[in-house]
Amino acid sequence: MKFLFSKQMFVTVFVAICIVFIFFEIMGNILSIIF
Amino acid sequence: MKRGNRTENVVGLCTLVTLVIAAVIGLNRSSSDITAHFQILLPGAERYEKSGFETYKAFSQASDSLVGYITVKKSNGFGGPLKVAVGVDPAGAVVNAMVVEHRETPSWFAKVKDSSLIDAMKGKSYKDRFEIGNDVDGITGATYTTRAVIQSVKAASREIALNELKLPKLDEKPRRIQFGFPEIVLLLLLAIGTFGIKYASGKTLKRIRWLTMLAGMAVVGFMVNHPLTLVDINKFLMGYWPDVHFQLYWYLLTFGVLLILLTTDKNYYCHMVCPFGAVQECLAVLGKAKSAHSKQYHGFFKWLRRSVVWLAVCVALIFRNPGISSYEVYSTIFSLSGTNREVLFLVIVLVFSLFVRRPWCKYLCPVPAFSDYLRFIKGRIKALFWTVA
Repeated sequence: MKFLFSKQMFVTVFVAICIVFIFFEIMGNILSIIF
Repeated sequence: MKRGNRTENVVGLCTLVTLVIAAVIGLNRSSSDITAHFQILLPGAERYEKSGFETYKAFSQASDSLVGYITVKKSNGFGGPLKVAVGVDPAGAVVNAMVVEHRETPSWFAKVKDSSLIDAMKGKSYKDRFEIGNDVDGITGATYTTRAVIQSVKAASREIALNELKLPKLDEKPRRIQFGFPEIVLLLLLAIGTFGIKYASGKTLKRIRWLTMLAGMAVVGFMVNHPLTLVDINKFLMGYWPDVHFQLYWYLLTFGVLLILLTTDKNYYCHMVCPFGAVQECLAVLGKAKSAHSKQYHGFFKWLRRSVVWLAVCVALIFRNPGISSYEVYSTIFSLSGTNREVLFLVIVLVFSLFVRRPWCKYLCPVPAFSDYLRFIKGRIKALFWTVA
């Protein structure tokens, strides 16, 4: 529970969101080159 | 040997091996077939005869008369070499052109593709100067790509005119290396940043740091829009080094940061010059952000970032395209344009920067991961050298 509201959780959420964006960015680029 | 060191050695070696494998796969990928575009380049032509290296004579099927010539020329874009196939009529005028191979970031290349750049060059003679601003309009935010396309079309039309049509040679001015305000500022920032940290301390160092960061944000960021990115690192690794006459800035930035890293073992660029670091620092001051550094999770985030960068570099090497795996948000903020997804990504990073100090630099930026790996390689080479000696 302590971790859930900690700064570390805040950072984890940030990194997770960014990795999702990075994944879509790279996949989008790959697909646009293939097709 | 300590267990941590051994793990790092094994991972470092695996990284090197996988990067080499990715590079070999990339080198063996077949290049595009330009003959598929011939009909678009010279409408009316139906029979083609090779007359030189990647140069073809085109004839109409009915009368067998010469319709024109098609040739391919290569120039350096932002991500690497860019090939343009150009159709030229028997009088030496450009009929059509098409980018048949490129290494640009797809979203940025789309700007050029969707523009009227090619249309503006149709009908131009080999005698025209093809100057950006005078003969052809440039495209904001895609300067390198625009210049590469224009150079290729110009070179193609002149080659056909001289070698095939035997038209008189034009007097051209010798090319000069472009060394101007951005190059001077970059050199000064790298020098002040490096020597500032070495010789200044306390409040003086703090002032110097803010000065270099703000100047970096203004010039390297908003004016030139060329901070050190994954594209530059990929270009360096793939050997896609640009023409020094037009892109001296790239050499100063890439080799300058590399030289500082290898000689001092410190990454002063990120700390003192990086324009996106400066943006985050400004937001941190506004939001009174604090460092969310925790030793407990430091290793996890460090390796997560390294894994993302390793994967991105592997993808770039396999596709032989430095821009394909570029995921940074810099160009969106410094060119003040981008797709909806890029803008949303940037906004998220900026909002978090109000609460956590430099979150992008700490958890996602590829430059620190690259500098860690360089330090590792340098250390292993040094150790190997001492063992042999």
